[in-house]
Amino acid sequence: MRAMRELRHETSDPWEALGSPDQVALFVFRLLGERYAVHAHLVHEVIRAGALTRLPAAPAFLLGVFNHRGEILAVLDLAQLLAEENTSLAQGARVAIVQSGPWKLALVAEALEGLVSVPPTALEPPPTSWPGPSEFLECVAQTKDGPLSVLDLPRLIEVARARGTSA
Amino acid sequence: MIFGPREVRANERGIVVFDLGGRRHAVEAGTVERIVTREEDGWIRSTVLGRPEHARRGLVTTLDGRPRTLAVDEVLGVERVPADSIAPLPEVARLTLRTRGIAGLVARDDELLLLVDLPELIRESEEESTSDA
Repeated sequence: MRAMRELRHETSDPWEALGSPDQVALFVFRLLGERYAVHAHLVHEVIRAGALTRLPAAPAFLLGVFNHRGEILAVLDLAQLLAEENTSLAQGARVAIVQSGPWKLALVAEALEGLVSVPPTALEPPPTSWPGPSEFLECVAQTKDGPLSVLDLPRLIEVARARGTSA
Repeated sequence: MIFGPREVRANERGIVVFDLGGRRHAVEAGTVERIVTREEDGWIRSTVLGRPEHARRGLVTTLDGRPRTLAVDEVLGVERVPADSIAPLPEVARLTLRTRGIAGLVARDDELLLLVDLPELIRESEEESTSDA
C-alpha cells in the first residue's frame, strides 16, 4: 500500500473513503486515451514491475509473468481485453496488483493515476452509447475532471480466462 | 537419467538448463534420459518454444516407450536447485496458455525460467505435425 500512497491523489483525502460508507473509493488509471477506474479495495498495491518472462502460446492479453517477493504473478494488458490494442510495458513501469476472488494478478495500463473518492450518488449506470465493450463497464462516475468509466474487474478477469480457454 | 535417485536431496530438484532460440529454459532432469550431440533418429525442432538456431545438442526423453529428442542450441548446465524455487504457473496463465508443454517456472538468480514438460512438449509437437500433414 505504501507505493500507492506515492501516487497523486485527486481528492483531499481519498484514503478516508476506503472505510467510509458515504464515499466510494476508486483507483484511476489511463487506458486507450481515456480515464478508467476499478474499485480501490481490489487493488493491493502499485509496484514497479520486475523483469517480465514472456510465455509461449499465450493469449495477447497475457503479457507474461514476473517474480514479486517470491510470488509469481501474471500480467494482464487491459487495453488488449477492452479493444485488442497493445500497451507497451517497459521494465520498471508501474503495475497495479489486484485481487479479485481467487485471482491475484498485475494489471498494466498507460498510466496509473491514483485514488479518487466520490459519493455513491455520483455513480450512474453505463450509457447505452458507450463506445467500448459495455460488458465490462460497471458504471460511470461523475468526477470534477469529467466522467470516469468504472470497470467490472471480476467480470473482466472471468472473460479473460474464458477467452483464453476457448481460443 | 542425468541424476541418479541418491544424487538429489529431498529439498532439491535437478534441472537441465538449456538455450533454445536465444532464450534460456529448464527441464526436470528426471525427464531427460541423456544429452546427445549427434542426430540419429530425427530431432524435434519445432515446438511452442520456437526453433533452435544451431541445434548443437539434443535432449532425449522417453514418450510412450520410445525415445524422442528435442533439438536445442546449447545445454548450459545441469543444476540442483531448491525445491521451493520451482513454482507452478499462475492460475490465469495455466488456464489460458494454449500449450501443455510448460509445467511451471524456476526462479533462478534474477530470472524466471520456463520449466518445460519435455514429454508433453514433444507430444504436442507431434500431434500438430500429424494434424498439419
